[in-house]
Amino acid sequence: MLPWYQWLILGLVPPLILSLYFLKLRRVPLEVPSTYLWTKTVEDMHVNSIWQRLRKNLLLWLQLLVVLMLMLACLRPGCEGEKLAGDRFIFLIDKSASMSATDTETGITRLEDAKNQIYTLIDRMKSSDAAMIISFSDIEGVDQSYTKNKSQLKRKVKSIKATQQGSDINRALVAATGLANPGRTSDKASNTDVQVAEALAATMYIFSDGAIKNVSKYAPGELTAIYQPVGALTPASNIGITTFSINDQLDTGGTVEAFVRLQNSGFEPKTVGVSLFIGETLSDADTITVPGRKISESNMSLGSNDRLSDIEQSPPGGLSLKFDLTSVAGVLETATPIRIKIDDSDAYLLDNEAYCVLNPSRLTNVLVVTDYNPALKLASSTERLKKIANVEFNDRSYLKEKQFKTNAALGVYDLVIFDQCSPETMPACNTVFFAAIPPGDGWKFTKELQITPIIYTNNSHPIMFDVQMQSVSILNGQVIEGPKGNTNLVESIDGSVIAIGPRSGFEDVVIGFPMILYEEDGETPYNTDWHKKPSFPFFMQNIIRTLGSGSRFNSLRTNRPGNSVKIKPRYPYEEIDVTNPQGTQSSLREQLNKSFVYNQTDEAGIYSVAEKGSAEIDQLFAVNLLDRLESDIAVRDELKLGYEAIKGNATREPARRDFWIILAFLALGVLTLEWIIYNRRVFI
Amino acid sequence: MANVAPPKNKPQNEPLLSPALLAQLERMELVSRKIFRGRMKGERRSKRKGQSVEFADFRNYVAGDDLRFIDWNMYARLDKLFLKLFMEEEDLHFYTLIDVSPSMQFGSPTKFQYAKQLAGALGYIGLCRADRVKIEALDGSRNSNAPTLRGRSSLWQLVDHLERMESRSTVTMTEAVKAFCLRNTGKGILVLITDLMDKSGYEEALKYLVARDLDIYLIHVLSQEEIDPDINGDLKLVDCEDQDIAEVSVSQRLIDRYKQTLATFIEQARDFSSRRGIVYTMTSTERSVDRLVSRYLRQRGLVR
Repeated sequence: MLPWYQWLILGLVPPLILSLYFLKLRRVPLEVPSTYLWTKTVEDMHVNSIWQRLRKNLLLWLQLLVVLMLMLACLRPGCEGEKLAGDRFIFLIDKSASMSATDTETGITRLEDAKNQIYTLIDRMKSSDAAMIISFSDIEGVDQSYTKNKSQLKRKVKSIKATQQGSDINRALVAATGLANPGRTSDKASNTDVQVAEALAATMYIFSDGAIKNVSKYAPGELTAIYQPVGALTPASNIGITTFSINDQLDTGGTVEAFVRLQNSGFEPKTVGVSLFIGETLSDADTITVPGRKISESNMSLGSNDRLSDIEQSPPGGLSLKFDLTSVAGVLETATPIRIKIDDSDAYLLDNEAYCVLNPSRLTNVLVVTDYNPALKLASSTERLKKIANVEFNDRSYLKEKQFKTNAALGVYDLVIFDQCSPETMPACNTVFFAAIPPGDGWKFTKELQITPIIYTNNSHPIMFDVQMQSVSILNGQVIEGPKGNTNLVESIDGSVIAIGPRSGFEDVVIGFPMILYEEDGETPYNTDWHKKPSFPFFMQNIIRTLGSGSRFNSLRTNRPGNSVKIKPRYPYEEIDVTNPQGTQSSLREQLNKSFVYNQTDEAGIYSVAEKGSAEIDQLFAVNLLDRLESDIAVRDELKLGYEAIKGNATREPARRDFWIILAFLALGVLTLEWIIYNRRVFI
Repeated sequence: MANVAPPKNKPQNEPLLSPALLAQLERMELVSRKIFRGRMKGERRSKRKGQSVEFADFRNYVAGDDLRFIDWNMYARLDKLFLKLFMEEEDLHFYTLIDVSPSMQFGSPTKFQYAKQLAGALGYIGLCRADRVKIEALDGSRNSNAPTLRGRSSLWQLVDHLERMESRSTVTMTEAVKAFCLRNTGKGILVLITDLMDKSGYEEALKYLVARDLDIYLIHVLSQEEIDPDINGDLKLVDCEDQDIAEVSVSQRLIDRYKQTLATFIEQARDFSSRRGIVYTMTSTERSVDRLVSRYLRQRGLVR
């Protein structure tokens, strides 16, 4: 806005023009025979009245119009509009499950609301602006690369569909920042090291409810991020299932329980009915009250139009419940789907149902090939393990027998433990080797070691859960080098002593040292004191539970929508049919080691697997979102991208849409018109 | 009146009447729609019965008549005295009035020059036919020094008079015409050559002339710059006669309007003239004198 004295100057312009018009024009004198006719001619043009004079003076009016328009232009007239500064835009659209919540003002889904907002933004783009569209859930996709074609952009936005997946903005951000800040070629020594592309500043609009996984790395560079929260201001009441699992009998002493956790993202406690279905039969039901969201002090003062400033400070309320399935599991003959359902409807329906598969129980077949190993025998024969595994012991000579070869090839065993021996061909199951390596080039002993302290145990691996190796002494052993993709489980000062490596669908554990030394004089002294430590039985139990659980009992694993599922049928089929919850079948061909990879887990529910053409179901698997982030449909006030917190636009940003440019152009047009008129007047 | 653009004038040194024009004019004759009584014997038939060889009429003898004109043969036959009347051939008054106002100094050639040429041409026709030719400037003077000329031999006098004539008048047309009428009482043909650009109006002047019962021809001379003004810009038009100023911003609209006004002006003059038996002819200085005389004035019946 102009200061007052500039307005004064501007205001003086029109009277100045007017006064100029009343000043005598400097006219060229010309003698004529008589002014008689001229006087008669101009009699009515040559008027005395000021108003008539003004009325007739088109040029004056045009000049005043020009000045008026320029003055209006100086006023910077505009209307409220979306701010679209810059000329390159990236629209990041969250299409995760929570975006299908219907807590928007108009009752449409958040995704549709976000789409509408994007349409508006696209409409307000200048013709020279380019935009691109990236949609993300768990996975990201560049739906439309930079284009100026608005209808193309809109078409692409329209084609974005809601998913039932979680949200992970990381890779979408990588894609967006990568396009805004292209890297350099890496060959710094070369003279031809050139920047691959110019860094192009861009504005990134993130349309999301903010329920995204934490972003660890974010280097915006030339990118300006704007977070546009989508969804209701006050968190809508939503009761969602965030956990649904069936426990391991081992942990509960034989009882089978379904564990459910409900989450309430609203402020008020809510009472809902929960039903458990086994197959299609209602098995159990309960009515529970889920407490509301805790309100932290920092959020107490918020008005009704403010979003929760910090979701972490105000976690949604939650409640757990259990259903006993022991009696059901005991009589189970085939794999059975278990479904839990919240009976009441709310703003976000995708988390109101969860699925699980209960498989009939079967003991794990474990073969231990050893000449003499009392520690191993003792550790494999505990009462706990007997409940889940059938452990068979055989001499090393058994490896030469035909029966072993047949059983090993058919996959009769779920796990084979080779103590200081190795088979000619690897069995079709997971294996564990003590002081031996599997045949082939994958595994190597690289170095002899003697009395070596253990410095590291990878306790994050399921095999090493609760296994403490620090106090274990080892006399002799070898340092192991595993195949590609192996994981070191235990490391000594000299190198890895226990490692796990993949073998086309199976896993092999190699332990670099023997438990017992077979000396030439027939003595069998212990090579280690591991068997005396509690960690050894834990280790054995972990091995049998983890590696031997191939087709054990209840499928604890739950798959997330969008992830690929590796299917290993009970029988070596060449082709299988997978039927999704909607009943659509898709055929899969065998890939590696009689396993199949299924990618179309777009929807939560129970998927069934059968041999191609057969009606007999081989196995079932469940796909669940079960995501606490997605179920908490409170819209985040800010988005944390790396170290940067981007405050969301609480309301639609009241940006300007300037009209002064149009006015200035109009003034120019009028000026041109005036020039033309003047010329027509003078040059006849 | 500084920076006044000078009027465009043609060089004045060319002869007023070219020999070719003179040769053409010799064959022509001034025609009067009225028969006027001349003063001297001329070459045209007079209203008055006279002494020519051409018989006109008889009439009864009354006492005092010249006995020489009694038709004795008639008396012998009818025993009554009749007087034989013969046609009289007389001369004709031919007046030419030239507007000598400064406005006549415009145009190329100037309207004044054009008027003098025209007056000379018409006057020469008159001289050839033994009419009494008098060319006067409308300057309002009481004592005109204009000679009354007769006979072809007076051509040099006529030309000399015209060449000495100057455009200097300051009086209105009405006053000048009034002065002329007071000085000249003779009947005959009167040709008034003027641009009619008199702010006090020309109507009064014409009325004076009409009252004199003359056979009046009005030749309205306009220069091209009056008919189609070639001016533009913001101008201060200065009247050469009274220094009156008209400020104009020339536009196509104004020019169109001017032409419209001029057309109305001409139409009014024509209308006024024809209502009073005045033959009106508008001419531009662009139109040559011989063409005007041999074509337009012949059409109008002034010459034949």
